Amino acid sequence: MKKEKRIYIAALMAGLIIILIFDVLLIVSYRRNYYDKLDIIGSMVYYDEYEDGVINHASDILKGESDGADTDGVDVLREYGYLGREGNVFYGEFLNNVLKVVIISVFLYAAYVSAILLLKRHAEKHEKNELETIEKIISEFRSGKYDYVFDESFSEKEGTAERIYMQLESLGSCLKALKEEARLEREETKVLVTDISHQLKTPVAALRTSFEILTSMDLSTDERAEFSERCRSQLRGLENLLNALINISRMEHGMIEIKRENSRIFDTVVHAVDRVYVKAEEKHINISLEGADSLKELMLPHDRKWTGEALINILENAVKYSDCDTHITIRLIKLVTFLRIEIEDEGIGIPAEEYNNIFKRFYRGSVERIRKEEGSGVGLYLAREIISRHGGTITVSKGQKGGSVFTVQLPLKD
Amino acid sequence: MDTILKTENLCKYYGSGQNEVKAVQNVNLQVENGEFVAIVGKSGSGKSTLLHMLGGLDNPTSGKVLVKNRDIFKLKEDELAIFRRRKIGFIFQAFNLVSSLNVWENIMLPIGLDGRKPDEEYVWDIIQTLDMQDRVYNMPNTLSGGQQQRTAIARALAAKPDIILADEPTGNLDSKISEEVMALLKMSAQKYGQTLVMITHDEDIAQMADRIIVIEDGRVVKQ
Repeated sequence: MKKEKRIYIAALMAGLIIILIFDVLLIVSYRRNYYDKLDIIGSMVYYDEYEDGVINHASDILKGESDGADTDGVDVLREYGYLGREGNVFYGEFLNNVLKVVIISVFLYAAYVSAILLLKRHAEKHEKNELETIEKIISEFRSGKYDYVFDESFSEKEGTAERIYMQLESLGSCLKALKEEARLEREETKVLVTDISHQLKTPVAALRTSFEILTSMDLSTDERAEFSERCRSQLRGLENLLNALINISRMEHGMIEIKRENSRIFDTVVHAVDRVYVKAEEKHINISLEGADSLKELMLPHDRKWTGEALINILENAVKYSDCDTHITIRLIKLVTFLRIEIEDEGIGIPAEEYNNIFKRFYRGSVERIRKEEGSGVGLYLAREIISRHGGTITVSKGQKGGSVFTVQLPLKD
Repeated sequence: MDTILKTENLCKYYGSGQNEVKAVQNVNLQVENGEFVAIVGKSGSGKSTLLHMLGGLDNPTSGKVLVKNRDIFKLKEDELAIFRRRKIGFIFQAFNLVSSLNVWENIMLPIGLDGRKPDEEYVWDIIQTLDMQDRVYNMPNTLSGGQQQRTAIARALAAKPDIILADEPTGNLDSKISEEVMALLKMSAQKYGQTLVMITHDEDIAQMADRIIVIEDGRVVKQ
């Protein structure tokens, strides 16, 4: 604001100075003109003393050979009392001209000042308009309308105001995204609750049926044993499901915070293998770990518990859907930005059409073999969530011996 | 949701009469802000043509492309060029690096073209994220394919575009490097809040996307 004021004052001063210089130049030239006239008249009087003097002198002046002021004409005129205000008509003319110059310059200057003031007012009004527009946009943001779209001109020049509008636009979309995120979260919770109730329904119903049969009917010992076993298996299923659901709900509500700490990723992998080792042993499945020796010491920022959980989920599937006497191979490969962990099994494999579905919540394959196995359809979903939160990726592809290869990529640094 | 990119009955036909080829037919799709969408299709399915139209590189026969609700084909030719420079980052299969400029100069090129002051700190952060800090003064022909594509990714990200359009970004790379470059692209787009639209024929890579759009004979068959 202060700077602008200074610019206006400078403009006014500059105008004044230019007009003053112009005036002085004009007046000086008028004054010279006046004295030239006096000189010429004076010289006329002087040359009058010679024969043909006046005529010769006049012709000299006209031919430009003399400027007529070669004599002290003014002195001659002064001698005869023709100088000054009352002395001759030219002085009056000179004064008149000076007056005209002064009056015109005053008018010109006044016009200049008013033009500048008008310009200033216009700029202020424009600024006020801009501020009002911005205020309006902000108050719309406050009332929850974030749809402001800046009508960008895509021209080469870009003013400050334009940048502010652009920033406002992105602020608007940012706020909108936040609001939307909150809404989606609520929506997600609803869906989650519905999904969970749905998942619990089937095993609970089955459990109840088995239990009712067990208590109300007259059963042989063999039958009794069978239904008891069914109850037990349903309960085990329920327990597994509940554990998985607890993990999911924790994950989705941000109760699980992925804490990435620099530690040896090799240890996490080995720990995950330990957890599935017993189940693998039962089926005579051999788990081998391949990778450069230096990787044993590789430090990588990751959450040990949850990364382990993700790997366990993948490994459990590998064991579950593989036949006896097969191999599971884990390969660690250090790339430029990521550590690549490949988990390859020789199991039943996954049809390519299902690649995008297996990571969805509660999705289970359509093949009977999968239906037969216990499972809640959350393991891979959870694994993907965990890996994503590490800034990594998880994908699946076909293995060399018909099984599946799960590829996890974890960034080597934050 | 906050839609950033939308098409309305987008069509592109080449030739006329019996020789008419319908490269893209009545495509209606929507991409949300911050989303990672993969457009999957076989070669010749029209996916490249579609992507070119999304980025304003090619004019449609009919239909609209709306970026933040603005019809980009209503812009004048030079406005469209500036729009592309500011709002869209392109990544191509062939990397398209300028061979006479080093890595740093290649990355700064689009910003320089726009006459904007580059946010050098931001660019450095990108370069570090992409692990190219040791090669900023290398010439493109001294880089491996993966490094060249990292440079192209950095170039696309550096101008802070709203949308990144990637045309088979890993088509020239072997599978391990492809997957790493893709993970990197995804991670960076996430980090810098950019929307990513990628076309590919590689199912493995498409899995990393939030959503897959399948295109066949110029039509969207699955969203």
